[in-house]
Amino acid sequence: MRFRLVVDGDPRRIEVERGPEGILIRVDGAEYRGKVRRVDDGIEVRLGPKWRRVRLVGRTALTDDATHEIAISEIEDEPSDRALPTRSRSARPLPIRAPMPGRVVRVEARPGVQVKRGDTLLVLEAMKMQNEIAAPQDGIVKEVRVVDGDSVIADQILAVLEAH
Amino acid sequence: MFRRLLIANRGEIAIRVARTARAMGIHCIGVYSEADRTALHRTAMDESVEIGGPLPVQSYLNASAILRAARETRADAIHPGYGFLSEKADFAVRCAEAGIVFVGPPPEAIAVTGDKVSARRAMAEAGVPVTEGVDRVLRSVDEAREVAAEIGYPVLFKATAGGGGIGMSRVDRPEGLAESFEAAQSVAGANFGNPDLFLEKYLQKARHVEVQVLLGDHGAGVGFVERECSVQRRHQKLVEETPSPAIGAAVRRRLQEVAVRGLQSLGYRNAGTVEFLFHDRRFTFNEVNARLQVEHPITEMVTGVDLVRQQLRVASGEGIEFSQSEMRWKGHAIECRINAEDPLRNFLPSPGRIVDFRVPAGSQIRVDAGVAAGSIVPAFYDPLIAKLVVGGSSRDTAVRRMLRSVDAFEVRGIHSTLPFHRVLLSDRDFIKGKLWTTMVDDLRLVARIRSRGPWEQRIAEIAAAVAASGRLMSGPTVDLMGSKASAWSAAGRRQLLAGGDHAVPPRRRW
Repeated sequence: MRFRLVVDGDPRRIEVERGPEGILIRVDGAEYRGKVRRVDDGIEVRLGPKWRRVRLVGRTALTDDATHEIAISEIEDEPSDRALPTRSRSARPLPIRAPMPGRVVRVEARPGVQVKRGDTLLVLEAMKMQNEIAAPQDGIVKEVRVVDGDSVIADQILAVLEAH
Repeated sequence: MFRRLLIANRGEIAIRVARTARAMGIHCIGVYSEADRTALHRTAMDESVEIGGPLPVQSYLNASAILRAARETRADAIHPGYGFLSEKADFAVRCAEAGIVFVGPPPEAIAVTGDKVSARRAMAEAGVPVTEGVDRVLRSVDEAREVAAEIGYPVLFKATAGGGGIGMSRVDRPEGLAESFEAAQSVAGANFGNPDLFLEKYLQKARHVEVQVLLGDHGAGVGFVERECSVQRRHQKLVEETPSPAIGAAVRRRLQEVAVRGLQSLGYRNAGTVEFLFHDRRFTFNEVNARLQVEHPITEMVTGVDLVRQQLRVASGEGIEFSQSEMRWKGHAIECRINAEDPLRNFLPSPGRIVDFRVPAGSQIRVDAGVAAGSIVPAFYDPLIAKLVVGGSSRDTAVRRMLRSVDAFEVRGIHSTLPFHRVLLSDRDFIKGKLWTTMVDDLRLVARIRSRGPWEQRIAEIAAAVAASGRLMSGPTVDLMGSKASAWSAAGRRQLLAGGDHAVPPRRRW
């Protein structure tokens, strides 16, 4: 399950999976493992040594010591019901997203071209650092949605691969 | 003294310069780009002027726009901070032509130090020990191969116009030389508009030490107790401290003496730093930074000197307030750079809106920040958002105070390098003062970061609860409790996505 969660204004991309020992939560890529159980007036989560109770009421999350304002949204073009890696890896469109806001300084991907995993698709500059956006797996470039000089926002789709 | 100072920079350094200047009774004029209309540094000024578009070339690097702003606001001096126009000799010339004092070294000195080959040559002539290498631009791969064979591998290619570690390339074996040469040339050409390279012996496990120098009129001046800046990643400093845990009184005196003499030989004036590599109990010249550096506050903390005040005094002809023999220092100081970068994702830039910003406070704790809660960190500029500086009577005391201060520092809304600092400050080698420039990679410090801290764990707990509640998302999903998945409440999801403010009661399905 993937979604975007904003807690007290702090936005994170969340991925949740069930593992053999409990749940795995990725918060902007950082992994937290733990367990979840239901109690009378909410849900209890254990990620560290202690169980913590969380009650969700409307757009707030109540914990033992604080009330947090939350907002949840789906990630564009990626409905939350898409199963995680279990689905077959045969030809399917794979959106290549901007990992952060920035400016496109070079586009190397051309539609119709075969690329290998690790090939640079484009270069995104942010905060004086050039970040190469590489193909996450082998595939064919289906679409390139940006040109040199474009400003992009986080998670914006830059290109689409047809992975195989 | 100047009456009206234009500060041609942004972020924490603009605020830091304004703090001293205003305390000296100087009217401060800030500049800002379109992307910085709501930036914190504007609030630190008496007035501020919009100078152009969000890209640095349109604004903070736009010499014409800055000089126009200076004329319009009747500034009599410009402080460039660091980065941007601080080490552009032609900007210093244009200031002089406009009758505005540039708070920094003379243009000739900037030009010599900005070319790494000429800086090396000048230092060698002044009797400063230089790293084994060549004092000329390499014209071909063959020439590079010849020199490298003479010096012995590993060697390091450096861009003559380089800076910030860009264009440096280490070569371990002759086979890799041609490829590295061409790659380094193209990086240097792309970044500095000048592909020229030279080459030095690569010193393994070296420490980076540097001496802050302040030269007044007629070249009289002082060298400060050295700073050590060995904790780096991709040649970017992350943590600095003073004094160096590896240097004793005898070497310290010699370092200071050599650094002062080296800069004097260039006709240098005002604040500058001479960087050295310290290796095998010997130090050799690395480069000159012809500006006030990011890490200057640690020197201020152990000496009590306000370096910006001294810069303004030298630039206005009033001179330095003390001599080398009056210079005192005590204790130890450390600085951690808080960057808007995510150390858990390979230091991915993390621009965005800061929603909460809590800084530590207490005796011997100084935070120079360029942001506050509510600030936007634009993607156009460098990632430094704050510097956390602490002092202590000893290094151990300072390290412990720093760890507590890092724990008390919280940045929400964007990612920061705070989790990296937590790991570094707990590392055994770091605690012992055993530092070297590649320690971050060699010790795999980044891989040791497990979490971004308690706030993110709280987010993860809420995320788990959201996922488990089953009423927020559409469609089949991961069954978190191990029971059979049930239909999700479409109504609840619609409401939440639409921003409804009352909850649909959770369906009992456990």
